Amino acid sequence: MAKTLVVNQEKCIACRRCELACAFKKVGEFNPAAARLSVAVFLEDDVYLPIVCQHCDEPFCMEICPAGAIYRDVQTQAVKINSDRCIGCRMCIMACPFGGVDYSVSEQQVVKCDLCDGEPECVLFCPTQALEYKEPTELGLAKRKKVARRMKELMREVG
Amino acid sequence: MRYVVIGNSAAGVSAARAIRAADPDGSISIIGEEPYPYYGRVLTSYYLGGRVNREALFLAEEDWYRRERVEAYLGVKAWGLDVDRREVLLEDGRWLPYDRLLVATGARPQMIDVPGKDLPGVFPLRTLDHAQAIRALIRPGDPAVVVGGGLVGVKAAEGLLGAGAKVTMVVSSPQVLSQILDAEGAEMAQAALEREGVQVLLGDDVVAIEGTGRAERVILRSGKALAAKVVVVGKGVQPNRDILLATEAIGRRGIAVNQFLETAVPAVYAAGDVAETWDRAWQASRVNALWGNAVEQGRIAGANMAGASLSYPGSLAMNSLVLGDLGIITGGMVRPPQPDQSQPELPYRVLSRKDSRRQLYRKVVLRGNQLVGVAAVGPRGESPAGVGTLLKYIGKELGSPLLEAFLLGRLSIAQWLRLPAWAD
Repeated sequence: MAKTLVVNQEKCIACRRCELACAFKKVGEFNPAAARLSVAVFLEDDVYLPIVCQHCDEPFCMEICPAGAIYRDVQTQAVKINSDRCIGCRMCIMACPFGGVDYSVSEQQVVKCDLCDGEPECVLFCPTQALEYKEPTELGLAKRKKVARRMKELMREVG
Repeated sequence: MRYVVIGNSAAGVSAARAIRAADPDGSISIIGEEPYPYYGRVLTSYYLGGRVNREALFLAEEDWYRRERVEAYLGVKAWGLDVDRREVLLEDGRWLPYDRLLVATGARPQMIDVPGKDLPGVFPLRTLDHAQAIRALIRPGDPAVVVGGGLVGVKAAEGLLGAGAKVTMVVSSPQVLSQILDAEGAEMAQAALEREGVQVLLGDDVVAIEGTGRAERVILRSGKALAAKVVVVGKGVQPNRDILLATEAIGRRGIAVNQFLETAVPAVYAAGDVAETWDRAWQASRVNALWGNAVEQGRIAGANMAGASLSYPGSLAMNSLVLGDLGIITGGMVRPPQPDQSQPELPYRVLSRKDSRRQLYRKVVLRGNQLVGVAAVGPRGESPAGVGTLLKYIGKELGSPLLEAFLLGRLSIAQWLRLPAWAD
């Protein structure tokens, strides 16, 4: 199984270094708006969760792209955008259920996580190992389900 | 199992993919009227404007058909259907037998019926051939007229500008984009078009196209005459439903399907621009002829043809377009029906907010507490993250803090996470 970004939600302290590291690597600025991932913070509930592309097995974004601009990198298995082909129609943003694709204001184009060609900068700068680049283990999957359950409860409360 | 798919675009090809994924051994045939492998119709205006080269139009190489063992009949029209013998008649006289058939015949542009409509230089803009013919004709500085201010008209205008033409757009309604925007949003869209250099004439109609041997000018109802080397007509599309015309599958506008995308004719499914599907916002059957809907319907119809029973959650009108420096995203029912004598009270509520300083316009349409329509107009650089996600909640109830944040243009990722994303 290919490596991917695994989020250990309990370890996240919402320092947002991942956002800054990502933005700096991608656009050379410490601008969270250009980051390919975002940390969602729920202060009152003490829940922090980095939101990032899941590089799905069957990516809706890739399927729906009318310009054939989204493809899978054979090396890293990352789902990537070929900006030469992208026409900026933003259908991928509408199709992704996870908010994995976003529009970068500074670059004026649709952007997403590309796993930094196998060396994700966010992982390098995460001080608590809340972000890891590894093969998703069964433990990881169980954890995700737990997170999802927790989010669901949270949302029910918020209504 | 023998699968036949009529239509080689978004719905047809995604159906073929789904069939192949579910049934590695079945025989799949796909019939395409155009002689090309699968290409992005959405890209034709970009190709016209020189923003996308011809090669980049193609979304599947000829090799794909061979690799996936899909027998392609390209450049061939499906002429007829024998639903009792379960065979499709091709225009060259061949009969293709099927066990499961998908009608994904798409739609054709609606042309205008005025004197001179057949003159060379008058085109719709839907296919690669149309874009290519217009490209071959237009030279920088040439006058061009776009008839219609809908999505196709707007995209055509952009393409023509890209090709260097001087563009005038003739719109019969009192506003542009009348299908997807109300007057306030449309005003911003029109201003963006005009900043790009398009001259927009509202509330006028083309009554004749004149010229010696080819289009040279367009005559309007107001009496104006516009020089035109090329006239591009964008007046909507008509579902290509002829093949099922004599059957009970025929709907109000297109081909009627149930939640599994089956038609009333045994073993025949329909998907894409020809299909009349359940609309989640309108709560009625409608034809939502859009690329994204076609891809999704094709996938579900294909899986069901191969034995699954996936239920289609319903279609939505959903559009995202960038006009110069302006970004527009709309979804669902943006312009709810107006009360009249037969229905003096309708259950719709409209909330909207315009922030001229930020070039921001937001609108939501509610039925009770249920979200049924969304429109967001704003600077091209504005991040539309919250807006796109909101579209997924059309047909569901949303709390007022979220709607408020959206109207203020401040719906953030953290907030949308609070939407019941995992709940459904």
